[in-house]
Amino acid sequence: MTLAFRPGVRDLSNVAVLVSRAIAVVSAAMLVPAAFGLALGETASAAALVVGACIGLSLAAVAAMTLPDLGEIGWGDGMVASGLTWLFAPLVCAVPLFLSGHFDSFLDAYFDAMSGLTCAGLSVLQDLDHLPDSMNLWRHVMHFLGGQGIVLVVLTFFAGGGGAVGMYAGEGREDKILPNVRRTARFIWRASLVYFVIGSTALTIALAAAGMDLASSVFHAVNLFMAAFDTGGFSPRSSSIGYYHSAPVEAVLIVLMVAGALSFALHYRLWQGGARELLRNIETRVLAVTSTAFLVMMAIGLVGDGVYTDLTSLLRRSLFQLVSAHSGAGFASVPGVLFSSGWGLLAPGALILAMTVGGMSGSTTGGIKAIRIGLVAKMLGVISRQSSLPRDAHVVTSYHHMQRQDFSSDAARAATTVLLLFLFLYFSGTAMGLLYGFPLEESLFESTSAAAGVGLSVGITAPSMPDGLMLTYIAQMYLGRLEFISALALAGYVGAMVRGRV
Amino acid sequence: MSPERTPVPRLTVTGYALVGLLLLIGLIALSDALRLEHPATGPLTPEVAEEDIDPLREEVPCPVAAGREGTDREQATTLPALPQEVTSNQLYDCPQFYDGQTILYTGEVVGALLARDHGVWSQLNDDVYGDVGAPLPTHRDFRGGNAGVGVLLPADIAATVGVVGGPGFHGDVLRVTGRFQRVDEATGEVAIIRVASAELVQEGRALEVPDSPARPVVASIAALIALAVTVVERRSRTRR
Repeated sequence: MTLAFRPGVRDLSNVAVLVSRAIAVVSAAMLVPAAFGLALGETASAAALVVGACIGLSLAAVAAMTLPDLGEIGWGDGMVASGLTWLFAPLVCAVPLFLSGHFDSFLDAYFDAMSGLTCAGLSVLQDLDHLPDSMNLWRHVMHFLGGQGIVLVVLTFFAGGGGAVGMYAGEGREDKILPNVRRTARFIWRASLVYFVIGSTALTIALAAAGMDLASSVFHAVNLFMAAFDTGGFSPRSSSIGYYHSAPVEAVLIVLMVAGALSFALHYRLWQGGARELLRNIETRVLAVTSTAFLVMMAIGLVGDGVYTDLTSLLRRSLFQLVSAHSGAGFASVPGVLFSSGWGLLAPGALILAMTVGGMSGSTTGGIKAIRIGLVAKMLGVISRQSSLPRDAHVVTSYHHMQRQDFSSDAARAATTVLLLFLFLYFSGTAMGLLYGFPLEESLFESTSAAAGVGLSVGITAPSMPDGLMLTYIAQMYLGRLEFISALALAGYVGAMVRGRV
Repeated sequence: MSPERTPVPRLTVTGYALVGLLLLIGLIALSDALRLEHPATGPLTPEVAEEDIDPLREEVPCPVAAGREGTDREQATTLPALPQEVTSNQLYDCPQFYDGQTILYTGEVVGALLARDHGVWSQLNDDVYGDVGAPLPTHRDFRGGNAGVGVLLPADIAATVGVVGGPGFHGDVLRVTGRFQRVDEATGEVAIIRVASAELVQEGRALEVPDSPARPVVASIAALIALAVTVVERRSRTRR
């Protein structure tokens, strides 16, 4: 399909089939927390999850029966399917949330479902501390589904060909770790499973050492793993990680958040024993520079403002919050309101900058991503060198990203475009916050957090927030997660349907 | 674009869009019909009906303005002689002012009691669900956020806690007297209360979660539809 022509019946049915399969996957996933709820005797919650699952599975089954078999799918079809999947999947995911009785409106539940799937981690759920465990598990499973990529699940089992590549790229992933997308998807699942076993075991031990009983430790560990490794940010308790009052828990989470911020291509290279890639990779270099710079900035702010006077507290709080913001996980080890009321200006500023950048491309993080920052920095370097050379001179440079790559102006232009789009997204959300009467610093913080899929909050995101602002943050989470591409493809598709040539 | 592609007429596209819209409306309407059966007003209404929604999340003006980066923080000239009754919002909005002060604070014990060498950590929630109100989903008054403070209880006080709040339970409500620590030097924890004494305001109890009789019926019907359609679809595919 090209966007100049009006889509054909075949194009539309291909897209519908792909979306319905993604809906089937997220719906089937609800049965896991439903079974957990039944085992705990949380019948109302389990019934809500079963209702949600059955509605989604029914819709997918009807689609499978009425639509023709999946035909040859193109890159554009895959992109559009990805864009639609991330709009419709949260609708089905929101059903059990709404039925839990902890949301005032369906829009609130949709907000949390979008936040869960996009791994933003912002929440308007009310009275989290009394939420049934099975529903709490569902919130974190959404992080896992979204972080790994709903589309990735579909690719693992159902799709191949050009459409698979389109869907994969449409979800904001670029790395082709193995020769085909399906094998890449399977590697990602295998790697995640290994991290799951190691990470949740380490967390269980840390939580048990923090005074929690074993059963609760396992439950919290599994949830926290999904939120940390998929850089989501939901937490089983309303006070986030501050609830545990435990430095070992924070230390394990830092490791998991860093693992989540690395691209799966880098994980693959490390698994193969290629540790040198860590030193040469342009993204790890960018992240090393930005992390150090922001950490110093935070430390200056926190010490200067007298927030922390001893080195241990300073390092513990600033390191955890920086990794949380930079990786896009969005956990808080201090109450979020303190970022605006008790942390001065410089430290929250460093958090905003860290959120803006995000982690590596091909990871579960949001934000601009380190590769784009690196490419734009390279481009500035080239321009600078070019200006000091004769007019006809041509500067040739390269960078290392899994392999040596020649720097091209096309790649730099693409990186700059996405960077500018992200900045526009951050500022437009800030403008909406200002429009609703929130202060500039808080509006900027919250908008960046939503668009970069972080989830740290200074208090604007609350059940009582205006619907208009809620819709703005939903759009930001959606666009930020998809990195605009498939959303733009979807807009082009709709445009072609309305006015495209026959 | 495949050569045998048949463009979809605009009217058909509009028709599908309408069907999609109807499905969306149906989904929301069905979800609304399956909500737990409880009155639209609940036990919170009498206390907060006249106030704005989410009153506890309103920003609290500090008695002494907090300093900002690069400016000197004002110093309180006099501190109250008796412990002040405070909310979690006051503590979080004015951490410098209350730092080191002995305060009175009331909240529901939620989550767990985490025993350590230096005491027992817990969380006291003072939002309208946790304090003396009633937790969700026992009613449909959505008037609170998720507000509370971490507390360090001496072991003997922690031992008196009968019910810890969580799914299905409203925990004991305690009125504690203690020192608010913006940063606790001994433990490194942030914004906590070191409790010296506690009084039981309200005993914890099991919650009565309202019923929703339509839910199992709808779940069963939807499950049957999904199963039947899947079987039919598989059979027809095998035949093809």
